[in-house]
Order: sequence, then C-alpha cells, then structure tokens
Amino acid sequence: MENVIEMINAQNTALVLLFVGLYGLSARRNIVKSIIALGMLQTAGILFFISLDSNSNSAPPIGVFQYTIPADPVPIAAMITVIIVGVSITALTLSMFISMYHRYATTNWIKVKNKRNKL
Amino acid sequence: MILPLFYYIVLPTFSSIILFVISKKRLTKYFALIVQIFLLVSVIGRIFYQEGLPAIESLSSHAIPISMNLRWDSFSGIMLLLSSILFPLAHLYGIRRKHVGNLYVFLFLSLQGFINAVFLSADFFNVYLLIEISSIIVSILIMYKRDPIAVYDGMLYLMVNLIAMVFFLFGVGYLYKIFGTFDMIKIEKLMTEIKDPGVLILPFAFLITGSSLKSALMPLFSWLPKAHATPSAPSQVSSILSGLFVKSGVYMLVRILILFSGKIEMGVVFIVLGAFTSILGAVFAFSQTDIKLLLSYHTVSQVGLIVFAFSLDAKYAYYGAMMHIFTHGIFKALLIMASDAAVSHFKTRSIKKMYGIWHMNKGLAIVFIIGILGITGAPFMNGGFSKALISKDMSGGFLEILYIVMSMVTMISFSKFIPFLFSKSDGSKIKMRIEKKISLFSYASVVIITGIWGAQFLYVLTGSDVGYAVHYPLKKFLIYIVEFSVSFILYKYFYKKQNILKGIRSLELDFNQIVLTMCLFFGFIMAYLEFIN
Repeated sequence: MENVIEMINAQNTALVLLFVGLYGLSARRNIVKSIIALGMLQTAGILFFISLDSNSNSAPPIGVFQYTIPADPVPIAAMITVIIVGVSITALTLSMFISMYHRYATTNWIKVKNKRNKL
Repeated sequence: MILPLFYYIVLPTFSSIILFVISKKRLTKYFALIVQIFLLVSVIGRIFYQEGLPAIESLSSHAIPISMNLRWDSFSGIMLLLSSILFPLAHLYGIRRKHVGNLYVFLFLSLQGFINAVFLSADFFNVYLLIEISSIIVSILIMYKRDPIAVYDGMLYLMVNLIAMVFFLFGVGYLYKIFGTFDMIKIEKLMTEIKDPGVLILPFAFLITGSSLKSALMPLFSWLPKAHATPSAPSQVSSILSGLFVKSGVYMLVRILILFSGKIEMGVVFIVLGAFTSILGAVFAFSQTDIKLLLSYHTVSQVGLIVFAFSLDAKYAYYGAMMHIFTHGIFKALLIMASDAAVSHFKTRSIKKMYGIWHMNKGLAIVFIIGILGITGAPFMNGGFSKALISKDMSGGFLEILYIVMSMVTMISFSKFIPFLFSKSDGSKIKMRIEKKISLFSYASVVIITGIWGAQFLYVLTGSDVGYAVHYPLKKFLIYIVEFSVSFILYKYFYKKQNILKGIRSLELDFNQIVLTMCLFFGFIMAYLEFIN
C-alpha cells in the first residue's frame, strides 16, 4: 500500500498527463482539440522538470537558507524558457488553424486531408 | 582565420535581426549573401588550420565542467561544412526571385544560425530548444506563400515535430534525474558508473522516439514528403530541408546511440529499420510522377541507408556514413535546384510531361547527369566514394544482399530521369539567369572535387586515413554499368504495372494515425529493451 502512495508523485503525474495528451492527439479528429492536447503535453513536460529534485522537505530556491535545503534551481530556470516556447507555439498553431479554416472550411483532420488530396 | 565557435551561431542570427530592422530590400539580400560566404570561408579555414580535435569552448566564464559548452569534433565539423556550403548556394540561386524579401531573408539567415547551433551544442537542453525553434521557422517558411496545400502541410509538419520534441524533452528530463546534468560530455563520463542498465531504458526510449521522427525512419516518415515537396514551397527551402535539416535528426540519433553504446545495444533494430526505410522509400519514390515528391521520398531512402551504415558498427561503414551525410546533402540540393529550373520552364511538376532536357540546355542536362551519377554511386563522384566506404567491409552474407537490393532500388527509381533527359524535345531552349548557373555549377564542382579527392577530403576533415583504402579498379566501372542496365530493364518492366503504382501512391497516413504510430514505436522500443534485459 505504501508503494502505491509513494508512486503518486509529480513525475508520475507528468507521465500520466503525457499519455492522456497523446490519447487526445491520436483519438480526436477536431483540430482545436489537438492543439489543446499539445498544450497538455507541454504542461506535462514542465511539471516533470519542476519537480525533479524536490521532496516535501525542500524549500523553494529563492532567498536566504538557514536550515532547509533548497530544491534544484537549474531545471526550474530551464522551464522558464519552455513556458515561453509553449505560449508561442499555442499562438502560432492557433493562427495557423485560422488560416487553414479560411481555406478549407472544416475543423476535421480527415476532411481536410481529403480536400487537400483533391486539390 | 579561426573564429571562436559561438560566432557561427551569433553572426547569422544577429545580422538577420539587424538587416530586418534596416529593412532595405536589396541591401538585405546581398549583405546576407556576403555574411554566408564569410561564414563558409571561416569554416574552411578552421578545418584546414585546426590544431586538435575535439575543440570544446565554454560559453561562460566558469571552468569547463560546470559551464555550458560548444563542441567541434569531426562529426560536427562535417555538418557545419555542409551547412556553410548549402545555405549560400541556395540563397544565391533564388536571390532575384519575387518572394525573397526582408522577412524571408530574416527567417532564412536566422535558420542558418540555429541549425549551426544544433550541430555545435554539447548540451541536451540547448539542443531541444534549438530544434523546436528551427521547426517553427521551417514551418513558417514552408507556408510562406500561403497556398491551401502548403498551409495543411506546414501545420501537419509543425504539430508532428512538436510532439516528437515533447518525447525528447521527457528523455532529457529523465537523463537529468539520473545524472544531474544536461551536458553531453559529462554524461558520457558518468555513464561508465551506471551499474544497472535497466535505469536507462526509459530515457533512451523517449530520446530515440523523438530523434527517429526527426530523421524520418520507417514508420514515422509520413510528414517528410508533404513538408519537403509541397507545391508552393520555395525550392531553396526544400533544398535546405532535404539536404540539411533532416540530417540534424540523424545527427542527434547517432549522438544518442554513441552515448548509450556501452550500456544499451540496439544495433540489430536499427540495421533492420534502416534497410527497411531505404527500400520502402525508394519504392515509394518510384511510384511518384511529381518530380519533387520523387526526390523527397528518395531522401527518406538515403537517410535509411545512412542509419543502416551507422549501426553496422564497422570502422569503414562509420566514416562512409558520415561522408554520405555530406555527399547526399550536396547532390540532393543539386537535383532539387536543377529540377526547379526545369519546372519553371515547363510550368508543370509531372515528370511524364517533361522531356528532352539534353536538347534544351546542355549545361542543365550535364548538371542533372552529375547529380544522378552521384546519387547512384558512380565511381569518381562523391556519392560513389561514400558508398564504396560503406560497402567495403561487407563480405558476403545477408548484409551484402541487403545493400545490393538497396542500391538497385535507388537506381530503378532514378531510371525515370533517363527519358526526362534524353528523349526528343519540342525545340525550345531553357534560359537561366546567371546566378542560377553559378549556383548549379558550384554544386556540381563540389560533387566532382570531393569525389576525385575524396580520401584527402576525409583526411583533412577527420584526421583518419580510411579513405585511402578505396580504389576504383576497372571491375567497379563494369559492375556499375551492369547494375544500371539491369535497373533500367527492371524499370521498363515495372513501368507497365500502373495499377500497383497508383495504389502505392495513394497510401497516406493522416494526423491521428501518425501520432498513434509514434506511440506504438515508443512502446515497441520499450518492449524490445525490457525483453533483452
């Protein structure tokens, strides 16, 4: 029983989020749902990195430390860049989707593919 | 003239930003060309005058193990030379085209900086970020003319590559959890202290899935022909993609395989995958009538050959594969540019409707012939040199049969170009502008120079003299001619089976199926590794 409770930590949650996002990408035909699932994948990655070297006893790595050991700041700093990249990817894919909708008039991957093959 | 390594990244990127701000069209175009030629000269200077390999330079004022590093060794030297040759020639070819404006030059030049940085960087997290940014820029360049087909292809390309990069990110995260660092050189040293290779299975599977999709291996290559051969993509962008960007995936794949090579052995899987990719890619290429699609499926085939050669784990094959990355980049870019000249004359992309290039423009036909001889491995062309190196150690057995099948399928798919070149023409002439002629001539001369002096070229780049063991006795010429004739006969036979070819042409995966294939590939690698441990 303790084993199961030990397995519910942030990294395994990130893995579960990854696979839920992959399910959303492979099983849903709506393009906007694919973009939302892509955002979910980004969140899973960020959660994974932030929780890499921390347990319930570690402090956030900001400020002066006297009695507590801080969590590892390197992956947390790296995730600032990844959050920025994630936001720009969401913006870019959404604007590409609008561009595609103006030309194909559908939000379904399969219908877009069929229309493209006829062009 | 040896520049510090970060100049290869900073110079193109900053000059592209400055040129975009200045925003005068003519100055932008020609100054960008000057910057790219300057980079080429400095890369060549560095190759000739470098002291010791590998050269590691730190990007901050800390000592080497702690700081973020850039690394130049023989592999990254070859990739950087390829990038420095392909970018200026591609830019020169299209420099007077309508679409080459301020925004285009900004994207193109900064793409060069980011691709250089992928090859030079010795830090996993940097590589993740740079490949993401490069994928974004490439997808914008693919959709540059905002054609309906191009919009779909660009979006598919972007989303599939971003998913692959999320896999890569998880792999990097697990590596950080195990080793405590992102740095490739430190991980290499710490890898020897791992006692239980079972810990490394999960990061390895994540990293390999991400890199395999970027390098378009067998089940995961559906995005490549659409992205590389979309009808309205500028052909400069297609040549950079086919010649260089797909090789960045192979570069990461090989680096990861070498990094984990002490603990996890995946040789057999990648030999099978590489051979399968190569044969299937050439079969798909053969069934196309669109000249750009033919060339891009052929890229898939050659990348399969490169991965096959790397995983053979033999000395000659390793150097042959590195040379083949370089030579394939050059002659694929040559063929794409030359076919763009033909397409703009005939106003159609179907190879059945284009004929008689030899009578229309002898220079263009000679350039095509050089490209085809290179790609099929004729002696004295650089393709022949790299293929001879790859096949040097194969002595009979199953591997040699596989290799012969792969090279023959390549020749069959290129036999389509023979009626394209030598049939009767309708009498018109193809006129090409001076910059296109200079660009094509430079590509062809690189093919011939690195073919005839291939061994010296390999020695200067890598310091190893394996190239001197390659000879061209009369037997090789005869074997080549016999192989080509047999391939031409087989081509005539298969040409009649139009129904099968149409069926092959219509096989296509859509987005959901591509993602599902990626997950299945990941699961397969995990299952295989658990099984052999």
